[in-house]
Amino acid sequence: MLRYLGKRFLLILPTIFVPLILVFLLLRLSPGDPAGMMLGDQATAEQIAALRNQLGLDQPIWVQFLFWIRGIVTLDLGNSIFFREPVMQIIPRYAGVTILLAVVALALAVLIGVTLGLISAMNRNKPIDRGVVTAAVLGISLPEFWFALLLIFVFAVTLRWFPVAGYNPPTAGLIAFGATIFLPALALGVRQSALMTRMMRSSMLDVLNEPYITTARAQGLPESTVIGRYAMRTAAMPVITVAGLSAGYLLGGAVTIEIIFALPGLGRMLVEAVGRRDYPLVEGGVLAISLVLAVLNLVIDLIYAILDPRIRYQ
Amino acid sequence: MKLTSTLRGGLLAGASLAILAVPALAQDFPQGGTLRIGISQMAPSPDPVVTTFGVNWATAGVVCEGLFALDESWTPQPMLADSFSYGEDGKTLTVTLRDGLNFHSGAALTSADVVASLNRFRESAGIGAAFKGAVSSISAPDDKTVVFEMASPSPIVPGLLAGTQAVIMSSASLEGASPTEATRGLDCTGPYTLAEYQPDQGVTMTRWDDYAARSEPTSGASGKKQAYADQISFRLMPEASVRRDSLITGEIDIANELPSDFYDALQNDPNTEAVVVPNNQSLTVVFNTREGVAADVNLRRAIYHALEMEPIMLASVGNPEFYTLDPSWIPDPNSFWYTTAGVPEGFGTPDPDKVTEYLAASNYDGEPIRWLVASEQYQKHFLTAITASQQLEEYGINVEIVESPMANYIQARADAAQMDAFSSFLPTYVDPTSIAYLNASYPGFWEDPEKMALMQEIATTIDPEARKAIFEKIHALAYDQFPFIKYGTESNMYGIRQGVGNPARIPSRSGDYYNVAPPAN
Repeated sequence: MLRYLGKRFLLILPTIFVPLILVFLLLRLSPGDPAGMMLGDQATAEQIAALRNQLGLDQPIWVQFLFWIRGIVTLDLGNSIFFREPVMQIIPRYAGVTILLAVVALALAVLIGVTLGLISAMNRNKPIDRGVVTAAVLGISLPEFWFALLLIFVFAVTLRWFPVAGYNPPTAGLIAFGATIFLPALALGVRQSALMTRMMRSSMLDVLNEPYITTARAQGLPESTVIGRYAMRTAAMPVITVAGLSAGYLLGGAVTIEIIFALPGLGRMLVEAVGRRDYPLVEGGVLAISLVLAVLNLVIDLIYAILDPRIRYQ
Repeated sequence: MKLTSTLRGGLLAGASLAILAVPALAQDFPQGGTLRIGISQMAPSPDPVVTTFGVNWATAGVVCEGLFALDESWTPQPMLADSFSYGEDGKTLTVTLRDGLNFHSGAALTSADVVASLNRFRESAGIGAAFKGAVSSISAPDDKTVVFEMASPSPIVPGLLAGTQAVIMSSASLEGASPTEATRGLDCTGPYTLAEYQPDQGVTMTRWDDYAARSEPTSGASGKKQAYADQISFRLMPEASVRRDSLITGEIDIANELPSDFYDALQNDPNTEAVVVPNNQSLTVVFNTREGVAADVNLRRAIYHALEMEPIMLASVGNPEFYTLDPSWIPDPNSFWYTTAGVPEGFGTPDPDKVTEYLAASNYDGEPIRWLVASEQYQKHFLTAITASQQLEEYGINVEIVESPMANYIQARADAAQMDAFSSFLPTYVDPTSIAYLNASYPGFWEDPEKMALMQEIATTIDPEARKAIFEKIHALAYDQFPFIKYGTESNMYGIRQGVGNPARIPSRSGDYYNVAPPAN
């Protein structure tokens, strides 16, 4: 197991560095530069050139690359060109919001997906099953931004249950935090919940036909024990895979939701940083996301072993 | 001294007219409450000196003040300045500061702070560069006096110092800052202090009880600042629909920058109002006059006469009530500089005979005009470009629209080799010398010798009427050479909750939230 872990940690390095190098090159090779964005649309070419020189952006790309590599190795990601603050301080500030959003969205997706999938499987071919399947297809098909605007219209504008936009951190109190995170998390998690519903339904139907379930029922075990103790545990495996994949999707897909609901998250910050050509901040953001995804995938693999004793790591 | 009184008379005449035309305030409002404003974007720092993106100056416009401020006719009036006078030769401007002024930090405002702030400003981009060109040195002979030395007699300094970038900050707060390095916070003299600035969330400003207001009637940013609200809160809401919905649900009192499509929704809601501010800014296309296909003046003339402005403005703005076909570069008719000098007969109507005549006189042989558009940020600019290009195609003038993000757009248009034209806009400026399009180093690079001579003349002429006459010559010259073409003037629309007191309804009041009262609860 430890050997496996060591190998996986080694594999994390290229997983992180390949996208980072790509981002470094793409940013520098694409048109547009931070100096022009800093000074604004009334600046002259001479003023922009002077600032480029001051920021070291007129250095050859390989010199910039060497400085960048040195920064990565020494864990000094530099200062944001716009915020003039260390990237290592800025990223956690924004990442916290995105991680909270993704966690709540994932929790909602699992809750909704597992519950509806189970209900659907237990009522196969009945109207409730058909209703759930139809809702799941709709959930997968709906664009997130549209669903987000629909949620705002219904729950914020019409019913006035939630604020339209904005963010209260958990330190403002659970209710205040919940009020600002619920709609964004629901909008973000709806597609994943639909996927999980279908996965859970299909998996549960397979498991319910397994001989060991028939045996358990023949032994006179209560249905709740058969489902909860035997069927659910096996049926949950594919759902965990989807949940793991969803975590990455939710982290990456939070951008649109963060913009619509005005949440100060990493996704929105990254989009703005790309727009401003804030190279160090974009690179730091990509590093953070790559790191989280790589660790997340490792954790999911390890959870498999806990849930399914047949899995052994070499 | 005659020189001084002439200039001063000219500067103040516009203000008097504006005060007569528009009552300062229709009624008074009680102090109290929080004025909550939904905004579309925020800069990483509230410091206005480090960027020329005007949209990022809103915080400084509330918290800070300059030596001068613009009134409703766009005329500079003293703000932190108590009085000012020009030397006999017109090359020295002496400003005396008001007594008893303090910064939010408690430090007294002295001329040393003014010198530190304005020396930083003169090294910054945009208007700062124009200020540097006009003023050779700034000195502080005593605590209350600031002296500006100019290379040649020039009346433009008060106007340049009335902009938001020329605000005065305490010299202590400028330590570590530079023209490109922002200050930490804003230690200024305005009616509100900066309580909190969170770049991706919003701004909170609190009324400063020690604020020393001027006694003159309010007019634009000049005169008495009312400071009705206890707090002013900017809330960042990048999505326009979210700003609209937040206004409808009462989460904010003012929703800035709304598309005209939302007009009916706001007017149909009993609790909201769509405020249309006419004559806000001109929509334009600027040509590369230095090199490339558009450097051919006859082609530019042909383009002007080929365009029909009404469909262009309609496609861009979407509603005929939100624009006018006004040829003046100065969009606000209240401005002293408003003129239609040199505009050919029948502005906005195509003239096929002239198109044929000018195309024949040009060297144009059908190559595409590379037309830059930052379509993501300025959808309206894309729509003007696409409509204009369709009209031009009818005459065999080909356009290649180059859409790009803002960062690429700014970089590409600064390089004369990369573009032939770009979509843009033109607000009302305090003085013609500040108009970016007329700066020969600004993209477009209009370096015509006659224009350069006129610009030099207007920069050094003192008498306002004589300056206006020179500006009319420049205006007419541009309507002959077409370094840029104006399609029309668009309005600005924003939304307010019922009960918001004294909302801005003219462009010169943009951003004067200290004179706006929150609705009573």
